[in-house]
Amino acid sequence: MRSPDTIAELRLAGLSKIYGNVTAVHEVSLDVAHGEFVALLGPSGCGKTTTLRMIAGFVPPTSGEVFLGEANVTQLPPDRRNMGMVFQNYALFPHMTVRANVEFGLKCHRLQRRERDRRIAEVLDLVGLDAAADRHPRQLSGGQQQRVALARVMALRPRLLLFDEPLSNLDAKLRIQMRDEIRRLQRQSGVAAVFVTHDQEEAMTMADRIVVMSKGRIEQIGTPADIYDRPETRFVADFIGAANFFEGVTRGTGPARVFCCRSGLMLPLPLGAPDATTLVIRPERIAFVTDNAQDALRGTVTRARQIVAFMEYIVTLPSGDLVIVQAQRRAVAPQMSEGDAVAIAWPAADSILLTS
Amino acid sequence: MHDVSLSMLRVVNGVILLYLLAPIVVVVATAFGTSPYPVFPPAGLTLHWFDRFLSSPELIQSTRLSAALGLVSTLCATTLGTLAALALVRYRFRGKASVSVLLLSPILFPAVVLGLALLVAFTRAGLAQTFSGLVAAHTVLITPFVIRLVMASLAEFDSSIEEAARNLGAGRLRTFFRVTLPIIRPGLLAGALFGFIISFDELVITLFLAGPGLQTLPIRIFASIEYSSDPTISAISTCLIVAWLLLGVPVYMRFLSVHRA
Repeated sequence: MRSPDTIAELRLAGLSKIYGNVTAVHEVSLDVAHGEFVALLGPSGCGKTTTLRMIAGFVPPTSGEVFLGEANVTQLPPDRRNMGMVFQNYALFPHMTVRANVEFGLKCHRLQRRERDRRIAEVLDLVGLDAAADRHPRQLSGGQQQRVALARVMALRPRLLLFDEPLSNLDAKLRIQMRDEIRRLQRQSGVAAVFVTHDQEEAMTMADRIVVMSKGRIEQIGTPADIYDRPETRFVADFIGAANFFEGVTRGTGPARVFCCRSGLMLPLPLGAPDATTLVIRPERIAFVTDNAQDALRGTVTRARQIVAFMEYIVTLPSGDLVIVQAQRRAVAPQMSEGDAVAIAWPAADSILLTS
Repeated sequence: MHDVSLSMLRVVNGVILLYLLAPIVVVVATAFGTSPYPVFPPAGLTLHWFDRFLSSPELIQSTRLSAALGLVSTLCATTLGTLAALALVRYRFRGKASVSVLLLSPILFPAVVLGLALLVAFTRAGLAQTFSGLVAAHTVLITPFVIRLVMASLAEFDSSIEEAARNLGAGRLRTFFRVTLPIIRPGLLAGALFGFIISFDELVITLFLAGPGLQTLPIRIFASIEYSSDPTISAISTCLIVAWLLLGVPVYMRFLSVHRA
């Protein structure tokens, strides 16, 4: 028998959903620990929302099981799963006041009047909306509505929090503010959370672990650093952040081991590098160097543009390869212009090697 | 330029309003006239025709019958129509398009055809010339209106609101009565209101199915026009208009007006 702290708070075991001949979700398995915040990240149609809806009980899985602690909840209806879900469009009850929205769930759970009032006061204070208790949802801003949705589920003290792209209808500034607020409330309550998003920055800043999904399958599970620095598939490397891709093969042994690109370009490899067919390098790992530096690649700046806080250059190599380079904008750093002849290089250890 | 087109618009609107409302004004005016047949403008003033209406046991009985028929039919149609609309909007099933057309078809049939068809069917079933038969016929007639209006409310209804209710611990029934029903209430009330009005002044189908003891108000009025044309009918009409103003308009303003908050 497993000890309590090794039992995952939420466990998905081989969860699949097939609609007709379309596989929306294929064999998704995942453990979420107590208090952990896990983001399901992927492009639209990757199956992340369907997975969340299977956890919540709105979509019956074709196969596989959902465990909450030790209990198999796969067959339980959504109203008996004890999970609090926050929806993209808030899904507040338009005909009820803020207070009544919060009280709805408490009544469903047959709480006594005094306890209901106590919890309503508590959660409205938590989200800073005590003054709006008697307003209707349509009288509130988007951010306030999302706070009510959050308060409504927190009042029930659920076993698990579920978020379905809750910030995508908010404007940019508010979205960033709400990230912190959601994370603060989740930490305070110590409840595990599953957060669906297509926004990589949101997933990176909020999650303890990220589950990257594509075409109904899990591509990779890892911490934000794992996902960015050590992507395991081409999809993950491409979907998260910007990246330069070189296709080719690894040749030679020891210090003579190099990556031969199809274009004829030879790139250095770290010692003991495994065989690979794709070499990936992040644009910010590349630096402008002097011509005679080790492993320098010469080329010409064919494009220079400013992206908020940094500069992005496209350097065209004689082999025909285009390399994206990102550099901090600093007063002392040299600014390259289009047409400049430059040399670029990166530490071999920063190259990511993939076999797909 | 805007001023010119605006005043043109006002004139056109005024003419349309006049065209729509003038007949009603004429009917109300003739109800107070002293002459034994409706004339406009009325000569003299009297409440005699109202007295004729209110002191006629047949007319009062017919008004009661029409009101009862309208209420019961509306209740049946609203229940059936709401359930049908929910099924049509929420679920995917085989033959959904055909079912949808079939449920809305009573609106498209000529009333004479529907009346005859119901007479043949109801005679065999023993429902012809009974109150239940009339209720059944009117329910058939007005259910499509309820379906239409409830479907319109449901179409703009975000179903994640129902999912939120389930997620918060509400079962199917509680979700329906506490969340779905209150939100689609405007469409439901609109359907019920239209249904009642349609039932209350339905004549053609009712003529086929009504028996000796089942003279609804429209049938009574229709019959009385055939051999007399005294202003009692104008008085009845005036009473109906006042009833509508007192009961129907507040419901309309409260739940159905375009400027709803």
